[in-house]
Amino acid sequence: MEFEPRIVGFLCNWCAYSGADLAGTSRIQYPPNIRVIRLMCTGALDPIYVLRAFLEGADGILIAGCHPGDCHYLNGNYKARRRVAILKEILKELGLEEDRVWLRWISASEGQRFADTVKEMVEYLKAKGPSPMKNPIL
Amino acid sequence: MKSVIQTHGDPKGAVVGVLKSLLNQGVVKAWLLPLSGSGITYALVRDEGLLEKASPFAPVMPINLARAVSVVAKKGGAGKIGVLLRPCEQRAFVELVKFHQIDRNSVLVVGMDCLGTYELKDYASSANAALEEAILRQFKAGEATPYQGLNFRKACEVCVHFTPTNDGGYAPELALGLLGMDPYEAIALEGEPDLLKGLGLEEASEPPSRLEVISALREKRTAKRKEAFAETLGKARGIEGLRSYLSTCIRCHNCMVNCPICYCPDCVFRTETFDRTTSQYLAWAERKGAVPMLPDLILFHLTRMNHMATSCVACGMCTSACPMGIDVGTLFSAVGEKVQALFNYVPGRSLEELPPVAEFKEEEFLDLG
Repeated sequence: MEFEPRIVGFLCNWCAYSGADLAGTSRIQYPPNIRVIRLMCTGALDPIYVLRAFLEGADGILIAGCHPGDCHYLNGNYKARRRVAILKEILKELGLEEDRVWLRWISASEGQRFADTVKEMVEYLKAKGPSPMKNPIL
Repeated sequence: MKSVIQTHGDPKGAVVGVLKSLLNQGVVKAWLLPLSGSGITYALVRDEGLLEKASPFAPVMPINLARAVSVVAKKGGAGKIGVLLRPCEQRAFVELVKFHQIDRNSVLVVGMDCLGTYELKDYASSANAALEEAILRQFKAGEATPYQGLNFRKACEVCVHFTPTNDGGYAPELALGLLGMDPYEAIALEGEPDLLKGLGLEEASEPPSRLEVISALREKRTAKRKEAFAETLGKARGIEGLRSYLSTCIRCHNCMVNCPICYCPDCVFRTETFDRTTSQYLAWAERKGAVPMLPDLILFHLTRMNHMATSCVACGMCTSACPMGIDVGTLFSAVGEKVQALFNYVPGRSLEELPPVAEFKEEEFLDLG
């Protein structure tokens, strides 16, 4: 059986989540590998939730919010970008496969971009294989 | 302004004289520093006579004293408290000021050169005066050799920020210069001209050998640090490596409690955020086959790293606090150094540079999104 990666998506309410919603209402097809968690803003995402998702079995994490300059809260996405940079650097230094964390800017009107991003990520993770962080006994 | 104090064979007495004078002049209302009695006790000292017991050079660090500064001087508004800080404590002090945990105007910092400290239990079981004298004698050549049968704390062995002043960055109100000096003859004192004049000191230059000793030591330590960091990152690599590195962790959270940067009173690991009901634990165990108890070992360390690595001052108190002897500090400072490099940030270097988690730029990390 082919490996089906599990992606946890942290999407901001105002842009990426609406973009995902648009993809659905527009009947754009995309793989069902993503489980979406809606946040008010990517700037509200503590890295602990990304880490927990990995340790609980996620193969990839998509963090998606408003394009730079478009944040509903003015600058939450810039703060998120710094936190993601820190998180990815830590994962990289510890050899924990930081390329499983994706940050993407998806506006409310970009249903197609959301679907394309999920497709692209699923293909990437299929090629990469399961995440080693989900070993059952921590 | 730079000056030199003559110590006439009694470095401790000379420094205590300075402390007393600043207390009597009313420059500070009290001193926060180590007192020696039965071991070392940090205290907020108001009584001039008790200053005789001050032990500025005891090569030991029971806690990162910046934590105590944030206890007494968080709100401020009641005059200045003098505090004697080692360079790593001073860096933590700077970070805590920037995180609004210390009122900067309520503190007068006396910094000092540091060659290294011993683990508290080693210090406590040794001849304290001999340890202190041995290290004071090593400042002139700047070669830190631990007392027979002992080792310096791991963080000290690879410390490269062992002086209180740094070019153009934060400098304490007063800085005791020991490296390249024979403290039994003289100690360099650099600081605000008013303070030095108040102490009756004239402008005087330090011996040129001081700078040479500092740069030679820095070079040696930098090489050692690089080696230690590479070795640790090699060992803790990958999830299996990390698990094995932390395998003896007993979840006491002492590393967090003793970390000067982990100041959050409402830390997620002290709250009920991740508490579950019995049925949730059972469902979790059913899904995974087994759930480690206590849970969240890797989550704890990785999260703490995400939260504080940008400001990690590499004081190594986490390693000293670990009852299982896990070298948490080398791991955190090795990763911390890489994370800090993303922002060209050096914790404790300046009061003006904001911590990386407290600001952002519009044009940065453009390849991430």
